[in-house]
Amino acid sequence: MFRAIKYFLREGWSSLWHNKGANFLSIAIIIVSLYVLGVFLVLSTNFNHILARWSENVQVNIYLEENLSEPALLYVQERLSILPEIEEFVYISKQEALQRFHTLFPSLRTLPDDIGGNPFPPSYELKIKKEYQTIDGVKRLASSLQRLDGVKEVSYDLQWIERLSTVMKLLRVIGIFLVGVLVFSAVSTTSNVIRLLAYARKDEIDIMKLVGASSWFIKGPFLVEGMLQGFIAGIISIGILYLSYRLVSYYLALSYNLLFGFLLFTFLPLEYWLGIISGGTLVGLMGSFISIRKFLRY
Amino acid sequence: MIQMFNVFKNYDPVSPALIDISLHIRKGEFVFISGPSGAGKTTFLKLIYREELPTQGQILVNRRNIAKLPPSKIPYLRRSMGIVFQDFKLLNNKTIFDNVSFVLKILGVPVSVTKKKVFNMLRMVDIHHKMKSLPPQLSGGEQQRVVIARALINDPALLLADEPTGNLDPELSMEIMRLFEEANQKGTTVVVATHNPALIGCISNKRVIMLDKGRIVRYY
Repeated sequence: MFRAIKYFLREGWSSLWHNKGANFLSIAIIIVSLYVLGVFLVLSTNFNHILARWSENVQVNIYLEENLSEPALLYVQERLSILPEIEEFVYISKQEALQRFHTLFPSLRTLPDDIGGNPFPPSYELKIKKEYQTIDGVKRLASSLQRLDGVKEVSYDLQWIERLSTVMKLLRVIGIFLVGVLVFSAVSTTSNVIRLLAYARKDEIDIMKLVGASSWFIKGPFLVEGMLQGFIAGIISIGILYLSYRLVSYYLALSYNLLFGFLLFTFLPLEYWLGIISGGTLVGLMGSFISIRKFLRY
Repeated sequence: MIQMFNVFKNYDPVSPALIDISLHIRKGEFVFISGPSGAGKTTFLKLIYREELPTQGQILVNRRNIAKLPPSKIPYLRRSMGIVFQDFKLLNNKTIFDNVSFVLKILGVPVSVTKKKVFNMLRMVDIHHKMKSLPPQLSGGEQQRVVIARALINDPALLLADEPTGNLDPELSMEIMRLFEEANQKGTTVVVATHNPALIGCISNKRVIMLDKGRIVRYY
């Protein structure tokens, strides 16, 4: 078994080296596919980070109706204390809200009096538990709070997160489509290149069959060759991806320090690297597997 | 070893290659298949190593019905045989040594054993001095000897040879036949297809099956 693998590797590598021109073509196509996949993964990873960070600061406010009776207020308070999503809540009376307004906007001190009294309703400020700090979680909570008696309005600052999330969904769809097309073309290019190489070695394959080589013994070197193409392409594409990442972050940091410096804060984690390299290897393997089958019919 | 029952082979319906062949070649026999060009000798051998399937009839090789052999078992059938092809069928991008050792590699023989065995075999057919050459660098006769070395390297139970001395001078032809006889004495069943009557004469204990236009015309 070990001897056979050693033979496959040696033969596969030697063929890859001897047919550099043709193999370069399929390696290049796999590099392009994996690079595009990598770009989408980098964007998606970073958007996910941003979403997670922004979600952490989500605060939900519920504004109560004016002149709520004591039992009604107690009812709201009781409901809030049993809801599992809420970590803690603070009651802000009309008076306290006005006080805050005065502190935050001292120049507008006279505004409430000008419009005829304290316009701020009493409210609760809610802090959400970490595990519920998702868009869907917050939305669900808000709609259930909205249904409570005595609640006039529920507000939460999720606009940006929602927009970003929509962009992400769009990116994912475009990404899946593009990567799908590219992976298909990479598999078919590899398959055609290996088919050409196998065709050039048809006599050799026939002789191997005649002297008793099993189909796996003949297939092995071709499969290894395809896998090596994908493996090499995987490594090169990660290298190029990293260089582009560094370059883009450098220029963005120079021009839009705050926004994009924050956006591009991380490269792909190691498991993604391994994923891209294995993906490339798999593409190469599939390509060669498809093409070599037909040469091995007895 | 080989049994054929009413075997027919048609490549095209107008001129059948083999017509109603029935025979029995026993284990350890030395058999010549003779006849003029186009008699069906090569087809006869191809049916035995399952390069071709009979159009009609049954063929048993080592008690296995080879027409019903699944494709995955064909390599195992061929590993029990040594085949000398008329057109050599050497791997032109591999050295003489690699061509012969390839058979042992398939069988998973350790490298150290392979080296020794291949060298001895190449010396036996007197081509060891060219073991690092590629087949196209050798003459026809030299390539023929490499093919014979490859066929004998795994001590096959059955040796099939298609015009094995076609490119050799008479002296070397006798030498090759002696090698075949030696293998036969060790227990290998040998089937040689040839149109050369002189070759048949140099083996004493043999059987000859004469083919003409696809039929067996004579046994002796």
